[in-house]
Amino acid sequence: MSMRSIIVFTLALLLSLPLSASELHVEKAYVPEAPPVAPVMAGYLDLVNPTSSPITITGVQSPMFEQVEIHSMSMKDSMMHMEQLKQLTIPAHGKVSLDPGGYHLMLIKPKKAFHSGDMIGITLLLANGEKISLKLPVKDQHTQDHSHH
Amino acid sequence: MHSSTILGASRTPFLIIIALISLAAGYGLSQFRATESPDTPIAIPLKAATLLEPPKVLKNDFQLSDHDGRPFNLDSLQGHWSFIFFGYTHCPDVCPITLKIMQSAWKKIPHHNGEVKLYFVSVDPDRDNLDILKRYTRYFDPSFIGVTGKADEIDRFTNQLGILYGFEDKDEKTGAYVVNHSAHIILLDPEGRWRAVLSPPFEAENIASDFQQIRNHFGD
Repeated sequence: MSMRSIIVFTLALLLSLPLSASELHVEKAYVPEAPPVAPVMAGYLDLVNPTSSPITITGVQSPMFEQVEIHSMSMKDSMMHMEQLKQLTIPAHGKVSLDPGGYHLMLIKPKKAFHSGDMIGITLLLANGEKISLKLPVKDQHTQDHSHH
Repeated sequence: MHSSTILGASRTPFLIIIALISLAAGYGLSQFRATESPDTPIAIPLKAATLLEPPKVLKNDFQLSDHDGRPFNLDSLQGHWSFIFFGYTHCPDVCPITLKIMQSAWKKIPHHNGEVKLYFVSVDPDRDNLDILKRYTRYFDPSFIGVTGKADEIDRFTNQLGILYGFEDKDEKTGAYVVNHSAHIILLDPEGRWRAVLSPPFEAENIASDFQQIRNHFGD
């Protein structure tokens, strides 16, 4: 093997590694199918931080939407209140779930109609400058089954 | 932290609405779902619904529009059971979740002869015109009916039903805004009287079985 091919091989190997060295794990990510006319969609996922230091998400981007925000939901004055979070911190050895009726990604102004089976690419921006790219499947369901806790 | 503000000068001040609703709630919404209470006049074991006893007679003082442009008022709510849910199409979470659950409940609730109807009332008429509302509502079930109208007409309807809503400040960049709102489902009987309220979190199974029991008990 020539020196040149070794260099090419090494470069290819390096490039195939994930760009992000982050330890943040994402589980159960999905986007419920919404009416094609709906100006917003919701994204749900579990964020697991197995490391011994907190991880903070400072923003979310998607080329498929005009804007992506992180929102919290809470019951206040017997109304559902929605509030935008500027950042979301997953504590060390902790987990934050974005679930129906709780935290969610608000995916604003889709650039096309999405249907069950489509994949939506999003990027999580972390406070340390890292970016985590994800693909969220669009699913024809709005709730995971919470009836059998 | 944002504070809730009502857009438009014609809106009833928010705190007054809260006060009115609290009064209305104290008046009508005592818990009648417990079967073991000796004071319970009606013994129906319900999971999601709270009965109003006696049912509240509504005033025919609101004039809204259904998504086909037909007038929607108290007369529209006569002759069939009505589920009514309030929200807006820019709602990412609660509204589509609730409508999806009602879609499942609808598979268990006989409705094909128009004996039961579901209305999705948008409290955000500035952004939800009838066409958008129709396409949004029918996505969940072709029989679901979108309703909206002028803000003060919406208020006359929501005030009677203990439904609260309020607008957050507009985003300076995008002009987008959030609407906070009650997530209850209102059930009216075929005489257009407020018979029960269903509170989240919802499950299709419970909604369907509660409705069946209420309908069996009170008849059409």
